[in-house]
Amino acid sequence: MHRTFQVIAVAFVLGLLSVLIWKVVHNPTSPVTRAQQADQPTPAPSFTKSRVDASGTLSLASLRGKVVVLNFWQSYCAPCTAEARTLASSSQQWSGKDVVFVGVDEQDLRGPALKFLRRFDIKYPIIADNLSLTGKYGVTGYPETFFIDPSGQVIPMPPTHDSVCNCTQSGHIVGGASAQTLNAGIKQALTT
Amino acid sequence: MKPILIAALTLAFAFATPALASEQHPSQAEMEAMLVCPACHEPLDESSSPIAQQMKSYIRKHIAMGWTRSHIVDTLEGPPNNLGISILGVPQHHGFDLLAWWLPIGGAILGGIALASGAWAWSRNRSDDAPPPAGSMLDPVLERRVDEALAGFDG
Repeated sequence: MHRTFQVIAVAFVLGLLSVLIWKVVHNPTSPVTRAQQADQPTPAPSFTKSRVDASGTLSLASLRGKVVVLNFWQSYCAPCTAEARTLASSSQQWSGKDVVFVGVDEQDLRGPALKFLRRFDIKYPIIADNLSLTGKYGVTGYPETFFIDPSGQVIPMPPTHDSVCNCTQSGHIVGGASAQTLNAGIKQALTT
Repeated sequence: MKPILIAALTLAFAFATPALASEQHPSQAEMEAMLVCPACHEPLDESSSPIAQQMKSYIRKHIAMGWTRSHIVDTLEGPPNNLGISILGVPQHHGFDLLAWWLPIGGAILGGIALASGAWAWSRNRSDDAPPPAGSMLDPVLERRVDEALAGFDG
């Protein structure tokens, strides 16, 4: 009897260990991250999400045929605040040219998010997300900005000097976006 | 039977009244203790992250507006704020987090089985241990020494 209990206990511990190992091994890297590391386009993970700035939902599929600038942000993130005016003016500059800016507001309350939009005069659509898209796109912090071409592929932005971080960005914009990096990504998406 | 029924009803009422009051008129402290910051996964009352501050402010405002506890929690978890189930401080009902729900149940079942088996084995051992026949409780050598000692007193 004692031996049976020992075997069951050891099997139980080994089982838990296996689950842990499986979890670590299968911790998936986003296909978008993998593609960006390989400098390749990849299908953009689809979504249909509730709007923050308006009622109803917005789906990525409805924007097929246009370049989508997908910006992940939070109202309480300082670099998001720093880039907000640049995004707002860039979205106006590119409006009517088959370029749509979409903000993904992550883990945020609606009230502060709306205040943020009013403060920075952001007119483009904003969707609410609760980390379901961050894993799919491989977002590691806020803000980050991706470029989706008219065929629905996330395209890698060419290496571009970024005046915000005083560094060279490629793939997608990590941290606050500058006018140069936004223009480079949009132009790349329009030409693919 | 009637006194038991009255006692049970009184007890139920005693517990139900504070729960109902808490549901209808939640306090800031109680709400902060039951909700979790979705970014840092700490109870709201221990977190000072920006989202936790936002949530505290939201709770304060809506308690002042007379909202019930459920209403505040529902609007934080679901629309319009959509912060998700993670603010309730409970694991998700899918994926790896499902283990957190099933492991305690599995553990309780295994523990129950172990306890039952242990009790069964113990009771069997007890019945196998037949009591020694009366009169032969002591080792013969010791018994002889005791007899000798007692004989000394008799003399």
